[in-house]
Amino acid sequence: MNPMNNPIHALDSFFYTSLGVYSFQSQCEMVAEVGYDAITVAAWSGHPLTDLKLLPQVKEKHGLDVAALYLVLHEGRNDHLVRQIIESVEGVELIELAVQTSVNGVKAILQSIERLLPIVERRGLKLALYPHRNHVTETTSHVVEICRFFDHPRLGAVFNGYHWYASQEGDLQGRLDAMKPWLMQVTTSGSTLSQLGWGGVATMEPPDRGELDNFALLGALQRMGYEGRIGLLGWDYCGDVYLKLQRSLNAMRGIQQRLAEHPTWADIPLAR
Amino acid sequence: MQHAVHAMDFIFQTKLGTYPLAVQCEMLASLGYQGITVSSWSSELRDLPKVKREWGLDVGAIYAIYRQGLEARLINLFETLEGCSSVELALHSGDRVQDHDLRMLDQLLPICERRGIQIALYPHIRYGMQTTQEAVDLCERFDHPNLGIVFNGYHWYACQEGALEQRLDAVMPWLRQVNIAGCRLSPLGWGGAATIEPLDEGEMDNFVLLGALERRGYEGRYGFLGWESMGGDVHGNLQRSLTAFRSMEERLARNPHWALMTDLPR
Repeated sequence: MNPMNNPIHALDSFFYTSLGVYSFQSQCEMVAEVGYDAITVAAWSGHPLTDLKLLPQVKEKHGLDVAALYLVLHEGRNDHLVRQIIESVEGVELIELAVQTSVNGVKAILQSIERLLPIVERRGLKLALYPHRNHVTETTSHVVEICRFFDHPRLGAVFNGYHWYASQEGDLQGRLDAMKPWLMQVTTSGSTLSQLGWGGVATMEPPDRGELDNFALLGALQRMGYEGRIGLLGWDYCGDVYLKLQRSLNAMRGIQQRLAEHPTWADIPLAR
Repeated sequence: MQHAVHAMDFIFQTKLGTYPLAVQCEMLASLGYQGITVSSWSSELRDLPKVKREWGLDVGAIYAIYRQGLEARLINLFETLEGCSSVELALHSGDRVQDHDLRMLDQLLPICERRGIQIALYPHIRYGMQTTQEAVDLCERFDHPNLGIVFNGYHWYACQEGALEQRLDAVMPWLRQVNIAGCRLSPLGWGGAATIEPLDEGEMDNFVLLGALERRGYEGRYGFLGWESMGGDVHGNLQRSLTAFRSMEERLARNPHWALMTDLPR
């Protein structure tokens, strides 16, 4: 069993608060100072608030990796923009793709993804489908199905603990087992099912809070030998962002340390 | 710079009871607060003159609410107040600012002149005077040196007034002090509008607010709002808020550009 020392990164969504969005420079400086290994950058539906030309300088300027670029596909609406960004972006190797809406249905979604694969291949990128509550690709089952369909070495999936929990997919071990061949990245947050949470479904909180047991999740990831990155989702709860980044990282490092010292504590029979 | 920080004494009024003034002051002094804001319904107002002497704390202000029928009580408060020269005044004579409020201010301002008291209008969600705009309108109307505004980050947020930079620009000529809290919009919060929490909690980004005030040269004190909904151990909550605030100040001094937001995303 590998010691639990996966690199931890922050999603740039931490920096979107009701008062506005922090500049990308501030984001990187804060994330680096707090001690994260990397940051993900959202390009949303093709209109990023971050100047993507800045990505290649992030490592040199801030010592951070860009863990992924997050993109949202609205099939039949923004396919071209999504392709254009994947075709041109520099300084990042992993594209996380959420499919939010579709005009023409499943077949067209598959065609859209199919058209991305040669670009990803040619440019040495990887494409990870991102299950997202209330999106077309909502559950881990949806994205695994697409991964199986293409069975392409550069197409995989993100396991997002928050969206898995919010969708109430359940059967954590079964879901992780199904994702194992395709797993490229993991993202999580603290969460509790609540009508007051995101989408009227579940809260997003620092991982030291909420009902979702991230210790159990990391334990399960450790047992399956996952050595990749773990990202923290900040949205809607960040307030003074720096302190939330700090306590979120502390919580994750605490979990990792406990898992290293007491691996058996996470050997719990997971609910099916 | 390190600002003077005050706690509003509401934090000591819990469902289990109200801490005595002496205990409030001991806690605040030992934690490193510089002062306290005392609610006008405190049963220990007569002891305010000894707060500085015994605990080294400033009584930053008295918090009072004007409602119809409370005229005599407020006049008596202003006439007898000792140990403090500022009143944070919420106006709630009706569902909007109205003639009763104007008449009350007409009566109070001469007392303020004579006794050297400053009124800081306190916009308060769900009260007649809710917004910073309404408070600015009153200040402009009276244009009196003893009448100003307390910018309350919580109530600004809870009212969803928005446009922080513009609101602060409008308030600045009248700004006397600032009150803040951690908060998030929630039907479970005060008045079904927004929670009142320690400064390390909530969605409201007080770091950005501090930055905006710093850029405008605000050097006054910050009061921390507490309320029974905050719950739990009062001392612990006071400590968390102070630690968070000093952390924000320290970061802001090092990296003032961190508090500069880009365009609103949503």
